Amino acid sequence: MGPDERGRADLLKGRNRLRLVMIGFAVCFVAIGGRIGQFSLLEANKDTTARPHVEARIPRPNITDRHGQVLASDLPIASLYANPRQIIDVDEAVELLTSTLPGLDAREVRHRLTQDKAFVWLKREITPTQKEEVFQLGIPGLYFRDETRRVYPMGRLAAHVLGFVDVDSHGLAGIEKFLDDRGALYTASLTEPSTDTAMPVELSIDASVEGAVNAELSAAIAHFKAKAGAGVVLNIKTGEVLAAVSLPNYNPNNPKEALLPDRLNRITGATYELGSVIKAVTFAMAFESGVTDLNGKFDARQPLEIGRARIHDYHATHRILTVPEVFIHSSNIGTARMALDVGIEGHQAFLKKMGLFDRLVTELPEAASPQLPKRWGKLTSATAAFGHAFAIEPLQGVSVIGAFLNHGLLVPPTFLKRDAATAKALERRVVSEDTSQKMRYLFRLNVVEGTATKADAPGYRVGGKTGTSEKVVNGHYSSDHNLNSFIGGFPMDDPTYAILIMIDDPQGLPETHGFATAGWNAVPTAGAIIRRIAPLLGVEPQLSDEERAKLEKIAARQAQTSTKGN
Amino acid sequence: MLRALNTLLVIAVLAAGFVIYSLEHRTRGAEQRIAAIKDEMAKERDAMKLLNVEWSYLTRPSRLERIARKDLGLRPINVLQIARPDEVDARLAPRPAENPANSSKDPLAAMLKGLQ
Repeated sequence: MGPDERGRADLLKGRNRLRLVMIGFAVCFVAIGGRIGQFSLLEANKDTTARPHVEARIPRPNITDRHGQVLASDLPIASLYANPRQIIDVDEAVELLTSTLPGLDAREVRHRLTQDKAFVWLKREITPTQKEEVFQLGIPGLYFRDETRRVYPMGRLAAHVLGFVDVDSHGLAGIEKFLDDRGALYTASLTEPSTDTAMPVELSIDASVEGAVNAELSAAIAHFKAKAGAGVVLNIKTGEVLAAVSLPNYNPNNPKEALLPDRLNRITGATYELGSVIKAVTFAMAFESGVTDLNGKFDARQPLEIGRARIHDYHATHRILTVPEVFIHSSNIGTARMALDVGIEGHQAFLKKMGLFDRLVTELPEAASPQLPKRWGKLTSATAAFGHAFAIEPLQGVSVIGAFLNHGLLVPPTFLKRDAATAKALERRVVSEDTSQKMRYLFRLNVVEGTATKADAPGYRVGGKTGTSEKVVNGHYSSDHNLNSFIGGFPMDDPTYAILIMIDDPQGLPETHGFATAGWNAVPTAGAIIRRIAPLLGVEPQLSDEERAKLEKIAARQAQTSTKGN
Repeated sequence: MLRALNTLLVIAVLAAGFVIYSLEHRTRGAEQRIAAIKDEMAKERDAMKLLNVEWSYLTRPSRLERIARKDLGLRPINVLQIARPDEVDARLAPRPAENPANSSKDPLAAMLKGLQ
């Protein structure tokens, strides 16, 4: 082998190595290129980014009324804290702070700022203007922490529906509690996690109707020196509660007030004997079971004796009454006879069908179970027929009576906005159209010439039934203390709205001739409310010529007295 | 040949590098703008919340009723004040009949005459 030959072999060897390296590189590049292609083209849409799992804070939604008026909202609010080690001139800081924030105590602030700590609270929840002012002082070592605070801009309005929250924004009552507990899924459905915002919770409440009911009811309570009162306006076609007022109420911005014993929710959170209002249920039952109709007659000549008990009439007539007369004179005897004709089992079955034996479930956590007699005998059935020992939630009462007026269709009441289609799906027939028509006739008749004439709001075709029940004082029914109620509906040709007014322990006044029964206080209050809210709800008035003439006369007289006054 | 190709590749690398750099720069700028806008939006949302709450506070029914009664002299509507469109004509006060003798003349002159 010559040198020449060896050189050739080396060269060949070198070329082969070079080729090997190139092939190696090529394989690598193809592999990388292929992988890139795979990622960018094939898996482009697959989200494989590793992201830390964050427990998203669900923002608390605003609560608005049915027209979008804000009733509850979270507002950002700052809290002031300090790092005492960074404060240079404590005296100056104390002087400036106490002159800017009037609520601060100079000695307390000095004590806090001289501590050897890195963190002391100075004042929680200051307003944006105060924050700006403190910021402008330019004191080193002062800091702000951003927090949120639940505010209720309308104050006491609809307080019992809204409820309130604790310092950590956990709902403790009303819709606020519902949003955290039973309605947590609903709350979550409103939130938009990516933007940290939430759709508002729309209540069925109408702020202007609520305001009108509140104004008239509180005026009535003051006028009749009553202890308390409640008012409900219900849309019976959709089951939406348009106004729910329970007085005395509280300011949810100051939840401590809600703990006072007389601030309970009287609409759903307690049960009451609505008295004669319950007679409407007995009438509907009698029509439905066919034991009588509008031409029927009942003997009210003397008290009804069952065993050793005697049932009397408050407005005793001592004659045989027709069915409409039993209704407008609110005869206990007649109504009790009606229930006895239906029979104990039939009576119980009808009340069960109306849901009066069960607790009414709405969004509000405050829900009281009805208190009805446990054992039913002849006497129980007879007294329950006119509402004795028959305590239910007021909302339940207005909802059932609303169903009698609403062509016999019961729609479960709600405090959240509901559309017509949902309401249609929820409605349940409880009595026939024929029974409903008779009930509408009786309700209207009672306002035209019965115990509820003062509820008439001319033009708005009001119908209703009154109830005066004696309150239980020390375990006995007391004839001095009444619980008065009125449940009605309007307009009677196609009832859309039902109204309940309850006044607790009103006093007789000279202009009521000393009487304290429902016809003198609960009924005129309901009339005043209907006159105010019917135009708000878009109910078109229809005045007969007679009514118009009467109203024009009153208006003319008022105009005359006012010009005389000037 | 090879040298020309290499030069070309170097230029291509430089050009690509420049393009990528400027793209990234633009992206950063856009990201900053997005963050600023998001910040602005959050501030606006907070401001809106505050204004909505204030609006609600100012339009609470009890306050509206008070100032409407006091400053505007308004009262709850009377049913007599509501009329359907077809009733309007009958409810309006009868308009004074047009007097052809008056309308032909100068109305101002007629008024002055009436004053004398």
